[in-house]
Amino acid sequence: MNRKKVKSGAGIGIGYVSVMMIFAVICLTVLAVLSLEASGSGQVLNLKSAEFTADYYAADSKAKEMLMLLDGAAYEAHASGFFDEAFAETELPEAVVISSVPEGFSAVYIVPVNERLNLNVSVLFFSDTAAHSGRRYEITEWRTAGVSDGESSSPIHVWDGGALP
Amino acid sequence: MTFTKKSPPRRTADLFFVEMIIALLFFSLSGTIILRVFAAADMQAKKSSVGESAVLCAQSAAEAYSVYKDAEKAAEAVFGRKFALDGNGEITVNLDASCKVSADSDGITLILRESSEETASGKMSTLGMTFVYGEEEIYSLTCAAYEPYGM
Repeated sequence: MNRKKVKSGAGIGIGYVSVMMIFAVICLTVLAVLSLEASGSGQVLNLKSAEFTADYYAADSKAKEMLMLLDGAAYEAHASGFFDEAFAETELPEAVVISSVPEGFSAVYIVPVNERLNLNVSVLFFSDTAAHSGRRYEITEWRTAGVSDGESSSPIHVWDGGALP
Repeated sequence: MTFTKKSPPRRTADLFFVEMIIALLFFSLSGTIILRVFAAADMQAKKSSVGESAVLCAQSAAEAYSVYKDAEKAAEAVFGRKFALDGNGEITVNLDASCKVSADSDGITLILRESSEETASGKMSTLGMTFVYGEEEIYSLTCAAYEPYGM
């Protein structure tokens, strides 16, 4: 008996199309979700960068305002003719630590940038401006540092070769 | 001689075409959703890129301002062109998506506002920067500069 092999459709059996289609949809879905995830994480990173930049320049502006206050005090102290006495008696913000140095006064203050960073500022105010080309002050430090920097930490005890307890 | 019962070829072809139609319908529906997700990801990436350019541009302008202590000079240093304050005391700069000066106003618009406070010892100037992209404010930054007198 002459029997012909019967083929379905265009040579593809029933079910293959569905399987291939489901595979293609799963692949496309995974790719779409990954691309959305990547762009989302990029945006989060960008937002953090923008936030840090805004925080830094806010702290920088505040530090410059304090510098203006200190320079105003130094200007008035020079105008009085008795710089050392007048500058030492000036009422300054609590955050500013003033100490006497051979050239005049050193002012140190910290402006917080965020929870983890501070802007450390140190300015040297000269008692004799003529000896420093007419400058009233010199910024000796203007840098960001970690909040824990400068804090006393427990020292690491290293064995020095002596007798053990 | 044995005969096996087989579905007629016509019926198998019909089933194949029904499956094909259902598959195409499902694929077109899911394709629409997936394309929307791709478009959203692309939009988010573009927005992120524009925001990143704005932050970098703002940083450059802030650093230039702390050096020159003048909005016009800072804008010239950053963008390489002269800009003048308008009647409202603002400088408006049209930028493209990568924050380069552009003649078109459909990209980013940067508005610079300068204010100052003078004392006997010096001048404290503040520069406010606002980046607008498509009617939406994408970033703003304020920086300051202190210029002591007689130094």
